[in-house]
Amino acid sequence: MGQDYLTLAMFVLVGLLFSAAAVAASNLLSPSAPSAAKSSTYECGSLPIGSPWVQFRVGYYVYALLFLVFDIETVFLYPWALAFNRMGVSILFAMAIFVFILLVGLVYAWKEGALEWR
Amino acid sequence: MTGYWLIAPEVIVTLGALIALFGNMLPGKDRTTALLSAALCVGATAVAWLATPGEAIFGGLLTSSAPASVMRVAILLLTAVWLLWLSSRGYEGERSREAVAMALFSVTGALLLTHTTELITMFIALELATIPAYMLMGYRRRDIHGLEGALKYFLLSMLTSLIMLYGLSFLYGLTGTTHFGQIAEALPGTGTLGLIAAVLTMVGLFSKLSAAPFHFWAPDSYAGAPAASVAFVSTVPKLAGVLVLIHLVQAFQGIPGIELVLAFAAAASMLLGNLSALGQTDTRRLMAYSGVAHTGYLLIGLAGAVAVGGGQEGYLATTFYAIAYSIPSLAIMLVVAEEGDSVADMTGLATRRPWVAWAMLAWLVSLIGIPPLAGFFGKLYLFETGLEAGLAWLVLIGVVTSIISAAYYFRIVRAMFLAPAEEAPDRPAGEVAASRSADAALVIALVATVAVGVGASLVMRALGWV
Repeated sequence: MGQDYLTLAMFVLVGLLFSAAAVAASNLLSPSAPSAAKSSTYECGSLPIGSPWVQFRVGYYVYALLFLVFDIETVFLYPWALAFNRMGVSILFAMAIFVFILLVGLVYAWKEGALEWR
Repeated sequence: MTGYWLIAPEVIVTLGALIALFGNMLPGKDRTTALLSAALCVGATAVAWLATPGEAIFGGLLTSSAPASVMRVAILLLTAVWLLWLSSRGYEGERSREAVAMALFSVTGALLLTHTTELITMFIALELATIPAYMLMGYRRRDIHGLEGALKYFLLSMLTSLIMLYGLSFLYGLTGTTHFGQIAEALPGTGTLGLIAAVLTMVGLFSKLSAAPFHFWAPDSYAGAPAASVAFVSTVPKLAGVLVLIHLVQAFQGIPGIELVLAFAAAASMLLGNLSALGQTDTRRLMAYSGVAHTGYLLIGLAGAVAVGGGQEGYLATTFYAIAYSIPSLAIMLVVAEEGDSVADMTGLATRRPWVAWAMLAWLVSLIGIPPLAGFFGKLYLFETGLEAGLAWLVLIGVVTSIISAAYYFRIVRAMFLAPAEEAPDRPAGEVAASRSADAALVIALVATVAVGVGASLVMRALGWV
């Protein structure tokens, strides 16, 4: 038991030392010649436009939330489909109840006008 | 009743919540929605009461017990009272049907929580019970203070949930199982790591029950929220939280040192809660600190039960006290929602609405713990357990802080009965509109406070006291 913790402590220690040493060595060894183009924000080669602190329309969040609900539904549907042959008809009803509850949520969001872009 | 009937109350309440989302299609709209939901809760109570103890479904994920049945009845009836009140008062400036739906979703989580005997089900049920509560706390979406409070509640609650999940992962790693019973068998041999895992797990529940030192969210978020939301959030989900904390502590009771953790949290909650409540002028803030203090009293029962190696009396006393605390607390917040948020708003209540003032007196006296009301017997059972377990110092703190608590509860009483009229704050002359259903809700809460006190031995027998 004690041996295990010692191994773990050594692992953490060596990990910390190595990363510190790597950063320090790179700073010491590399030549430094900054220019305006080099120190600008890296965006896969395209020129950065505007500030990153942009305000998004709150409407996006509603869409994201609705999307997330059905994203998660899919995550559940795959293992359900795989297990269907072994588990029998009862899980058909279980999934029907699950999807029904999600659908009620969607209909509610629809009714409240969340699907209209304003 | 057997098998899947066990979750019939959850199904009824969920259906109620789904209907409530479409409350504008019912005749009478929000009022009918709340009344219909209250009726569904009462119906679910009957089904919940018929459950046979010791029944397990879904492979042991949910297990019924006598304390759970009593707790479920209490949760459903308190919700029904709240909905009955809401049906006529509503939320000023907001429509109330979403509040009804959120409350019912939270109740579904709370009901599941009472039966859960497994870590993952427990976590999901706990989140289901609390996430709607964040929305209720920030229900006035144009009120910046309410949103601030709700955000604080959300962030702190999520943080402690994560700490709890971390603890759950330790528990699974140590024991290789997620079932409470098997964890209880495997944990005692795991030493310090077992204690750490247990404490991390309990942090989540301590925060949800606003036990010190994890209570910081409560005063701020209560003081920003509509009082009607506070009435629900500070009582109904807490009932289930107490029961699941009991189940967890039962699983942890073999770990050496766990009673010290509980005793520390109990002492800290009683002292911090009661002393901080003394200076408050906002009733919601005052009741938040009072809630911290009452969680402290509850923990005496748990610490005592663990100290004697798993005394059933301590666990049952804790369950009883949770019920005895929630009824008056809910009722007081409902009156606050009617009359105004500050203590000064209560000035002259005895002349304006005499019977409400006398009912308030009864609820406050029950919270202090004066016979023959519910709170007295609750504290009696708890202190008895503490003394039998040899935790005299903890009981002493309990008794002394109970006396201190009288000081701030009586500030409300003074405002209602004795304060001169000029102390009343300037406010629009509008009287609280008469409403039969809101009054009926208060009367039911008053009757329940007296009945649980007078019939304390009956309630204890229903819980399984021998």
